[in-house]
Amino acid sequence: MNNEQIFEKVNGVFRTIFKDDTILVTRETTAKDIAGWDSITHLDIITGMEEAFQVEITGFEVMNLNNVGDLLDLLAQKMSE
Amino acid sequence: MQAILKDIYQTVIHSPHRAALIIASEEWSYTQLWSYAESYAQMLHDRSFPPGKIGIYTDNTKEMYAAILATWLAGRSFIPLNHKFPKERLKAIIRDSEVVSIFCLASSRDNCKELLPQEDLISYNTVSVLPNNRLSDTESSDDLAYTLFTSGSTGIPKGIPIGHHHLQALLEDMKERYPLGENDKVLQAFELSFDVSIACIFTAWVQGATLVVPDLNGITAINAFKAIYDHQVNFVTLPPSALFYLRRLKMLSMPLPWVTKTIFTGEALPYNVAAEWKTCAVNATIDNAYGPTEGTVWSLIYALDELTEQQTINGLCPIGRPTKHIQMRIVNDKGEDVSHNERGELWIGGPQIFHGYVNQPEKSKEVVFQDNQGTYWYKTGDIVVKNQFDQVVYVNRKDNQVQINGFRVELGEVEHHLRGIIKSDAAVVLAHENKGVLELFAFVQGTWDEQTLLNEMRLKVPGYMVPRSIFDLDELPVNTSGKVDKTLLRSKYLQHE
Repeated sequence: MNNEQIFEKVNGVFRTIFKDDTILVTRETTAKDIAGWDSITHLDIITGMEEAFQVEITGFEVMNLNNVGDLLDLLAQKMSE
Repeated sequence: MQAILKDIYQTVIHSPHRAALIIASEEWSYTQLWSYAESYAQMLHDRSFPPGKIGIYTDNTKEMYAAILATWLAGRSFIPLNHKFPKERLKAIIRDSEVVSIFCLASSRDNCKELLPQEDLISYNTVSVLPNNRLSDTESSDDLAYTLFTSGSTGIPKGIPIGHHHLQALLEDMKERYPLGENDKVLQAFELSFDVSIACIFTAWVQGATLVVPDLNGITAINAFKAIYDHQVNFVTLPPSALFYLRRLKMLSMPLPWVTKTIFTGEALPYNVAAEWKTCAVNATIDNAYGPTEGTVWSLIYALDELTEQQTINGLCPIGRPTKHIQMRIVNDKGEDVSHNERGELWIGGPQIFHGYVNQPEKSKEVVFQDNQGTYWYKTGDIVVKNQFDQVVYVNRKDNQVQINGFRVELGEVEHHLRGIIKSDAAVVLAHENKGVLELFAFVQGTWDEQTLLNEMRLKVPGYMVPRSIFDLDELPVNTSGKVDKTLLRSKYLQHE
C-alpha cells in the first residue's frame, strides 16, 4: 500500500466515524479542526484504523500522536514491520 | 483581598521560584504566574470596563490560568467560555450573564469577535508583563468568584454563581483532608467549564503545590496518563471513565508507584474500576468525591479501604460522608427525613451552597431554600441510601439527568434541540452504557439524514451532548400508557451498541 492509498483509507475511516462524507483530513489536521472530535471519537478513530489496517495500536503510541501526519507515519511503520 | 489570593501570595513571597504550573512541558514559577496575573489585572483596571463579569476563553494555556487570578485581583469574577462549545451556546451564556470583556489568545481572537465587539477583547500578547511581586489592594464588595453554566432541561443553560466564601469553605476541607506542599504535583485534567478544575487548581495553589495540566484535546485520559508519567504527578484526579480508555489501549500495565492519592469524581465509581487503578497506582489511597456544582465542587467524599467491597450497592462505591462545611438530609417526597436504610433524595446545606441560578428565579425556587437559621439548602435530585456502615451510597437520579464524561446533561435539553431541528415533538434521547462509558442515542420519527441532524446538533450543543447515533423510525413505539416505549427502543436498537 503506498502513501496515497493509506491516506485515502485514513480519510475513509474519518468519514465513517464522524458520519460526514465531506471530511478531508491533511497531515496537519488535529482534534481542534473537526467538530465533535473528543475522547470517545478519538478512540473510535484508533479502533477504526486498527480494523482498516489490521494493526494494533497501544496507548503509548497514541500518546505521541500530535496530528494526522503522526498517525500516518505510525500506520506506515506498523505495516512495514 | 480575597483569602484565596492571600494564600497564593504567601508562596509568591516566600518561594518565588517554586513551580506553580506545568503545561506542555513549559513551567511557570509562582512569581511568573503572579506577574502575569497582576499585569492582566492592571489591564482590566486601565480599560475601565463597566461593571460585569470577565469571560475567559478556554485556550488551556498558561496565560489562561493567570487570567483566572487576574479577574479576582481586579475585583471581578470570571466565566469560562469553553472553546469546544458551539458559538450559539457561548452567545447565550454571554447574554445571560453580563460579560463585559473576554481574555483570549491572539489566535482565538477571530472566534471571540463573534461573541463580543473586538474592542472588548483582551489578547494576552497585547499586555506588557513586568516582573511583579506586588499584591494589589483592590477591594471588591462583590463576593462572586465564578459562574459556571450547566445543562438545563428547558434548553436554556443554567448559570450557577459561586462566591469566594463558597470556595473558601470547600478549600478549608481540602487543606485539612489533602495537605500538600512544595514536593506535590497535582493533575488538572478537566476543562475550566467543569468545576472539578477549580478544586484541582486551588487545592494545589493555596498550598504552594505544582499544578500539571495535560493536553485536553484528543483522548484526555491518555494525555493525563502521559502527564502523570512524564512529570511524576502524585496527586491525581480522574473521572472513572478514564479507566475505560487506559484499559482499552493497554496502558494499565505500567506501574505508577509515585502516585500517592487518586480522587475519582464526576461519575459514579464502580468498585472494579478503583481496584483496577490500584494495580497501576499501587501506593495510592483512593477517594470517591461527589458533588453538584451548586454545592461548590465536592460535598461528600468517601475514602476507599479494605471494607469497601462489602459496602457497594450495584457495584458502586459509596459517596461517603459530608465534607467539613456540608450538612446533609435524606428525605422522602414530602421533604421528611427517611429512616436508616431507606432511600430518599439527598439535600445538602451550608456555606458551600449557591443561592440561586442566574436569571432563573422559578427554577431556583424549586431546588434552593433557606431554613430558619438562614442556611442555604440544595435539593440535589440524587436518590441515595445510607448503608450499614453509615456511608451514603448513590442509587440513581430522580429526573432525566445523566453524566457524560463528567459533564451533567439533561436529556430534556438534548431532546429540546433535536425537536427544534426536526420541527416536531417526535424525538427521544436515551443514555446507554457501553463498556463503562455512557453515551447518548436519539430516535426521531420520519425519514431523516443522520449526518445532517448530527451536523445541526453540533452547532447547538457541546460535543458531549451530541448523540452518538440518531435512528430515524417510521414511528416511535409507544407503551400501554401512551408514552414512548424506551424499554423497547433500548432492547431493539441499543443492545449491540
